[in-house]
Amino acid sequence: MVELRLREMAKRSTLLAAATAAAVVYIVMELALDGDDHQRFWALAIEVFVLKILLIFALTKGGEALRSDLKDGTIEYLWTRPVGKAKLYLGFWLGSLLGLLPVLLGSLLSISWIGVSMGAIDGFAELALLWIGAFLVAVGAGSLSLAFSALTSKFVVFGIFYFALVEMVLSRLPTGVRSMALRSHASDLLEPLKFGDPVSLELFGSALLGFLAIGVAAVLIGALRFSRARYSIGGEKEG
Amino acid sequence: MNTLIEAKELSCFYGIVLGLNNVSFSIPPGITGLVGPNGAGKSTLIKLVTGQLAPSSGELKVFGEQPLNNPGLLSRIGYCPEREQLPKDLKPIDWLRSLAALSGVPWKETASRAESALGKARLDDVHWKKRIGSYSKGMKQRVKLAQALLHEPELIVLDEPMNGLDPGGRAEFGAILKELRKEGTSILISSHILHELEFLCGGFLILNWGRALASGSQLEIRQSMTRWSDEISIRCGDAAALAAHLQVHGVLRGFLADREALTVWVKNPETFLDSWPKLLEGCPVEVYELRNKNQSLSSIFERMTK
Repeated sequence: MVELRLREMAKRSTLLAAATAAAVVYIVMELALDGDDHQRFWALAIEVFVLKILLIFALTKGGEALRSDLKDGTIEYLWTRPVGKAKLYLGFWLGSLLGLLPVLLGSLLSISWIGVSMGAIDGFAELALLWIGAFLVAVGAGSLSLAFSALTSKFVVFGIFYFALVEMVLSRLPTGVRSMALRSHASDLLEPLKFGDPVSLELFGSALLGFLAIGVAAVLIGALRFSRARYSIGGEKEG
Repeated sequence: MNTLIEAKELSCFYGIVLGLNNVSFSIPPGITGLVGPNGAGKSTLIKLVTGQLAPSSGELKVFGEQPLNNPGLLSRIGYCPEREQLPKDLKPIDWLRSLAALSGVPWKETASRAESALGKARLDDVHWKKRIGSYSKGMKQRVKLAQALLHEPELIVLDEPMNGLDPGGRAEFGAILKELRKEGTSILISSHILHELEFLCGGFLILNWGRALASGSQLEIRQSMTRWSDEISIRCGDAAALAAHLQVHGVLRGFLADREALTVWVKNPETFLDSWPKLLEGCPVEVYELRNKNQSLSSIFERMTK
């Protein structure tokens, strides 16, 4: 899956997807921005792009390849290879993350270009933090999406439901339950950028742990479900 | 090893749906045909052999090992599924390289391995640069076969590989399989296209309604059929007179006489054949030939699955 994904990434259509994402994000940001309003830039970059668009995109796109293989039956070509199912799942996981990369990279390049040119991003640390935050959100949400796709063919609906319930509702609760949401960790990590505050190492570490916990839990649940999947009678090969 | 696949009281159910019901058989190396109508349990058995399903009860061993969750065993088995779905947007070489890598072939060797497999499957190299989506059915079957050959398995399991192929395509596919057999690869092939299998397979396993009706070589199956086949064809000087003579002995259930050709349906085939010389005693009709009318695998299959 990884090799295939890497090959796909070199294709013209993938480059086109990245270029389209870059152009769309650039145009929207340019239209939405008002002069040199740095706060508005960060609000758009963090609140709109990272915490909404990227999150929804990864939650609904990350499981596409696995579900497509399960639905078409092409999963049989993989299941009958001399490789364990858990390893196969990890291949799907890496492949799904690579599949998210073109759009993520294109969008981030545009946002970074605009941020640097208007002076909202005035140092490497800010730029790096934005990219790290966006990557962590993509990895976390992509892992969740893959786990959903191992669980159900309705993984897109499930992803949107998860976004609405966990990411939008639970993340706003002032209790420990908010740590179940990727948004809460991403907010902790990226919010200081809005106000030009430095990020404390402690906050960075706890956010990283939060992402790690959600990501690992998603991968484990997905791998466990996938490794128990079997051929079942009927039209769609899913266990 | 004399036994490639061995099943003992093997059953597999999909919930309440029957897949295989208490079947026992053993399959030796060679080309073995898995024969049966739709719903007979052929695909279920194939999924069990390739480790995609767990038996509900009983035991299945391939090369002396259980296939479920056994990657080591899967490195000795190549599998070609029934479904036609292939990744449409990929070129065969790219797809096969990925699958070869998954099968443990070092990445540097995957290209040569993919080319060799496509060569063995006789897919002309002018098509290698095209996307699989643009392939004809026959070409897709060759790609499917090639992916099964990538890791040079000792056993290839083919689920209805000749479906949808024209007669020429079937003949060529059969020739490819014979060539693979010459190289020492064993093949388990399921099909309901029986006359192709008759010329291709050394042994058969006949399934119906999840049960194993017969297994062994064509000869063994025919012999077992002869024992209980009730339809016998006789060529003689006067069919009507011979029928009347046999009727007197009370061995017939029915007959059809047409000049020199007599077809009889006997009450007990084994007794009938054993006492045949005695039955003819005192009969003025000259008998030229006696044989079971339907000896082809197709007719055996039809009779067994009725």
